[in-house]
Amino acid sequence: MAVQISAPHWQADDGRHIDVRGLPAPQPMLQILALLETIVAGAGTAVIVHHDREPIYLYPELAERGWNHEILPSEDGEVRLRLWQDNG
Amino acid sequence: MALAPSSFLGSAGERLLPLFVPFRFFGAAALFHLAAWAVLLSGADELAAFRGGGGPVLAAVHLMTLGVFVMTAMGASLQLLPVATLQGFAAPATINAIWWLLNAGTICLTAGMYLSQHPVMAAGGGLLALAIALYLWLLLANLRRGGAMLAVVAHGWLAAGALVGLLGLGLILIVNQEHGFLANAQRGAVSHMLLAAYGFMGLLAMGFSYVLVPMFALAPMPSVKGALGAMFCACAGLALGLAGTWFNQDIWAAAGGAVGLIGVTLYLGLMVMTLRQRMRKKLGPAFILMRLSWALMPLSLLMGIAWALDLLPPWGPVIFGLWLFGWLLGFLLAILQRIVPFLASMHAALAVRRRPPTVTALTAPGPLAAHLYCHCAALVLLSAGIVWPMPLLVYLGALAGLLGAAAFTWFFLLAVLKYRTAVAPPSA
Repeated sequence: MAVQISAPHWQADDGRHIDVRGLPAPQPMLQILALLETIVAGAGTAVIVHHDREPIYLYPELAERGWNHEILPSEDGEVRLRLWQDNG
Repeated sequence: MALAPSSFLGSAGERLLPLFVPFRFFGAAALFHLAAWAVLLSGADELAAFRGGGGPVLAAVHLMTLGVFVMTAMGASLQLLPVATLQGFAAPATINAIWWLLNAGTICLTAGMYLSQHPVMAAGGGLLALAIALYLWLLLANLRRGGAMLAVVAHGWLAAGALVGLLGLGLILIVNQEHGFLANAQRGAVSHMLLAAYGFMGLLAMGFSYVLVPMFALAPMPSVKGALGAMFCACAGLALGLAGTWFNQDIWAAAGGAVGLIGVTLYLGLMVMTLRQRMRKKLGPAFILMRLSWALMPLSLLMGIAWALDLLPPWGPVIFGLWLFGWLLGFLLAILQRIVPFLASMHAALAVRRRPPTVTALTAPGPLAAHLYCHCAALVLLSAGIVWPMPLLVYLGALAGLLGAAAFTWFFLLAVLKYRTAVAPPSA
């Protein structure tokens, strides 16, 4: 994998978090996909993404990898997404 | 608890046009692609000796440039520019008018060229001027607000300048066909072609490559300094080439080609570096077409330099034009075959708010493979038919191009049908 995860990311009770706010395109997408590649399929791990806008260009890539997405409530100026796999 | 989707559709909606808007442009481009090959087929025996003037070859050239290149460029830029500038287009009625005017103008102009009917050609030119003026108004309003992607925005500004120049020259050439006031119409026609191919289309293709290639290959964006350096060389080369053509200074034109070649080398180097850093392992057939088009880009410039230095045999200028077309057509069709299923998947995700159909599911590999083989066969057969020259080879090349265009149209229709099925409400 050529892309290294440089965005802040951490583990919490509700899953792995990654904060891609402030990154120039297409870094947010690359950082999120790079994090997803580290997660073992079927492990049931959810990923929470902290973004500054709805990552519409990410959705086809998530679908291709078998990930679902939903938008969570968040503070003003932030778009928070939960990503999960069906078998999780 | 998930938030109601409508709360965030606003932000996405501001950056995105409804899918039918770019798809109308892409659908029209697919049909003009078919028409261009069909018209070339009807005038296959004239291609090898083509040196300008009315008839089917000129009509086929403009069906390709206006109907396919400009139509695709407008549709793609209206959809993608908001990514670069973070500003949406809130002008659906204007975009609708542009689409109608561009279609009507292209049909009128090319019918006038095919039939050598000057009034029809002039009417088409007028409609196209209106379409392009409206597009420029939208484009410049969007670019004026700046944006996050400096290199893409800078390419957009220069492409807009080239579009103004090529439109003005195109209109002058139409009037000149009837009144003959230009001392050398050939120079005007070559300048018009240079502005269209290396100016408007070339700069737009280079600029959007810096967004689209990383997006499709999943790679970081190339260096902004490198992109601006390539752009500077391309523009300096174009300016020298135009000056050399206009003032009949062959050495300036050749030097312009050489400077342009440096720009192209820089651009291709950036593309190679981008692909080396990609996350996506399998790039798919679109990138075979893309690489073929990238190979033709410097080859067309080498042919242009040889033409300026009078080193080419009589068939040289036509081969130069063919490879120029091969570069732009291959690039645009490669982009279209990736962007059509990608946009369909993305819009389906926003429409149904669950996991959308994948890009793979929305792609039709069979028609795309058929298109790739036919496209390559068309380029080889046309090149051979021009060099020898053998009208039968040109005819077979145009036939291969037509079959390829039919396969591409089939791919597009399948993507639209699959999208409509995906977003249709589930039956009770």
